[in-house]
Amino acid sequence: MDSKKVGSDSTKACYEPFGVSGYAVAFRLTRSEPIDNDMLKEMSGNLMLRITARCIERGAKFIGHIKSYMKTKEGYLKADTIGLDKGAYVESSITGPTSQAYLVINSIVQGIDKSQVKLATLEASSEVLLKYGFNIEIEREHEYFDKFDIPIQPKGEEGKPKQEESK
Amino acid sequence: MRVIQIAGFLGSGKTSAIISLARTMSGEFKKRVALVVNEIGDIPVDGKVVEEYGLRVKDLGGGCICCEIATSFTNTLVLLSQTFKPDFVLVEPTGVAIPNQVKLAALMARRDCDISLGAAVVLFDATRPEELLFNDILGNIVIRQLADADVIAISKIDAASDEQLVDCEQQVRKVNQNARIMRISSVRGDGMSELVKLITEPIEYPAYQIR
Repeated sequence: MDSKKVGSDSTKACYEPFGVSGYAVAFRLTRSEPIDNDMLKEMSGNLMLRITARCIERGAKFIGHIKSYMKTKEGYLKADTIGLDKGAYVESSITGPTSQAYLVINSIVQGIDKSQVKLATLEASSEVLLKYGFNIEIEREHEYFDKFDIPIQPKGEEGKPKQEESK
Repeated sequence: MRVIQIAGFLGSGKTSAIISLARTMSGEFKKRVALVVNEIGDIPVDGKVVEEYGLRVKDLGGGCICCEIATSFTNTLVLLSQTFKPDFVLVEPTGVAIPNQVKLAALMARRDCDISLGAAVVLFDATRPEELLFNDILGNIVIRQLADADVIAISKIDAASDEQLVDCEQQVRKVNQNARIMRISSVRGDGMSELVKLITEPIEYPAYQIR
């Protein structure tokens, strides 16, 4: 379990019983030729909607929030969506063409477990970012707890301490 | 130092609202404002976006401040009161946090510093009221958040019709008979000055008690 967690080990997080799962990933993006702001905005919007579609394909019942933050030397870009029918919102301050970027994506959905959220996010990211000519490298990632994380105790071991969740 | 939370479900526009409020409070209203942004994940998105607007923010990640990392939140408030000494702390909890639990966590800081509890402003997304309220599982969180609200801000009003907004107001009123209900748009700035006036006006403790 998270080392920052306070209180007793038996305390559940508020979101655990509701099947909310999440996955966050930070990418280093590089591209041989610089890409302009309009293309980055288009890519980011497409990326949000593609992750959403992939989550739904994998069984997500509810899209909580899919969001991203991109930092380049020329500015930043944020994008997010709360569902395919709502479209994606993209806002950018990037002022010039860029060939390197730091991109964080945070996908929070309900109805599938965190491993599926991770797969959906990574599949969609590869698909969209490669299409726009970026090489991608994962710098950090983090899966969140969900209801599927509640450890199942083998029969006869119900009284024993539960194994701690690792990040 | 008054602690005000800008709560609400996932995707309801909390980050945009907190940026708009902080800029209005520190600019037009000349208040000293500190921001605390909480995300369940430990790779921040919201905090980074807030920083891009030139605002100083304390990012709390790796858990929810209403339960998992409540103590970290309390310690952060104490530290802020001792160092930055803000007039107001705007707190953005996670989209699944329970406002009353965030209030309880904030109140723990009263042992070590002089704080007062401001309003729990809960945002409600005008673009998906049915999805939120009638979701068989998540609807419980949304209703609990609305029930705990001192102020319910119907958000994203730029993307909804007047008929939809009236419907939203009626729906949330059924959940909370006491809260002040208002309409906001962080994109257009609608309702922001009114909301700032409301949350910064002098209060007589315990105006915003935990119900």
